[in-house]
Amino acid sequence: MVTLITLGVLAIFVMVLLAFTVAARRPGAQAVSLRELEPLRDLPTHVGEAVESGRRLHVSLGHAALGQADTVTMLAGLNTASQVASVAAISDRPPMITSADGAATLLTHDVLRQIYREQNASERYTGNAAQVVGLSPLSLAAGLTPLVKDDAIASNIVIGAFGPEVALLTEASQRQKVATLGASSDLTGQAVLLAAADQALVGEDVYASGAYLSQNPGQLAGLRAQDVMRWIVIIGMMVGIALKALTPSN
Amino acid sequence: MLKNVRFGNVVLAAVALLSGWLTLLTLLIDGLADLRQLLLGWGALLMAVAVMAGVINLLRVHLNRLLTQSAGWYSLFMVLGFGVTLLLGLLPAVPGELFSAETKAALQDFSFRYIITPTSAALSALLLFVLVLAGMRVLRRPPSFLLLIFLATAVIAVFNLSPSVFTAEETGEVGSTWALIWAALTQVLAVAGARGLLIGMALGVLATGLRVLLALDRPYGD
Repeated sequence: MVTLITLGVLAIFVMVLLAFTVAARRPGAQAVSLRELEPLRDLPTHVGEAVESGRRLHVSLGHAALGQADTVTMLAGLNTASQVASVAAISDRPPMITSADGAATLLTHDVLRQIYREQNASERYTGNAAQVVGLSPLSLAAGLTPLVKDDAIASNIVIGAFGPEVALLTEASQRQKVATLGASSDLTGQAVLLAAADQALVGEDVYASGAYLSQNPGQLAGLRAQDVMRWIVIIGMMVGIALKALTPSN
Repeated sequence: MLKNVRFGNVVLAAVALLSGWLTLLTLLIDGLADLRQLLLGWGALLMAVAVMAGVINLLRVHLNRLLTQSAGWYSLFMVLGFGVTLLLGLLPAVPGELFSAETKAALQDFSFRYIITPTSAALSALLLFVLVLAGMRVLRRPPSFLLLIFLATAVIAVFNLSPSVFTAEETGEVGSTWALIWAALTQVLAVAGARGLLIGMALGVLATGLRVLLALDRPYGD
């Protein structure tokens, strides 16, 4: 029964997602209006300032790893990183993307190579653009702290799987007066980022950042599908509560 | 139009989509448990290669920093630490005539007991101070509704973790007004908030994952 319900929900989600994507790609489709997310509103400005000042942008994907439970978080972070990299690739100091997973770094290299090739700037691509800084959450955070100072970082964008150890990075950034935008899939990490980062994304906004930055109709359609599914879940929960309340207990 | 399609990309997309959907189906259908084990075995092998790639990348970056003298002592310590830990890890493979089994075990035990564990513990302890400092910095921000809620929640969480301030079971006041308010805050509001966040994130994960499985997003190129 549970498998059937799961397959049903999955099928509905796929249909809604495809319907919105097809509608968004139709010629003359209306632009989707999104609620404003303050951290993402300011991000293009930070990226522009970093490019103009000749300093480096740093994007960290955290300890999210490919093939693990947080694979999708890593992909969402990588989506945001690729949006930032495609704008900042022309900078004298191209953006640096760090993580704690070898497979994630290989995929990041792949994405970055593609971005530089599309911009006819393959010669600017270097092997140091994507780095493994540490292989555990704590070693990643410890490894990131000297980077802020040594690599002339203009802004940090930490988006991925981060626990409370992300405070080590935000503290080092505060000392160097480097702004940090943070988003984590971990609830504790979200709470820490809300307190310690200059700007923080909470809840499902972690997965929405790529669509907000790219304004790609297909990705925005994904957000609309998500909203429809949220209402379906809310209605399902309300029906469940009503049924539970109306069923006489033995 | 087809001229622009790279054969390598098509193969990559096909492999990614096939393995993604197969893995999803094996998780939902019990009869496909053997296939799931096979896919997970392949995945584990690839993960091991990825860890090796990660270690090589880490070492390459720090060696590069040392050679270009673009970093302080951190990279030197990292490379030295890596070398020593690797040697200690390879010790069991050394023939018994050179080192006795006790010497090998003692050397490995020394590195864990006196270097790796204390360093991790020190970093964790430092993290505590950094978190308190971050909490103090919040107070210096311009007041907002979200900040007020955040601070109130933090204060309640501190009370909740402190030894039996309002624990109804220990004070024998089960059913008292305080106990009810406390239960409403910590068991209803907090749990409801956490579940709300988690449901929203689960939908975000599903949407992002499905977009990859439907090839609407393709985070792979060459």
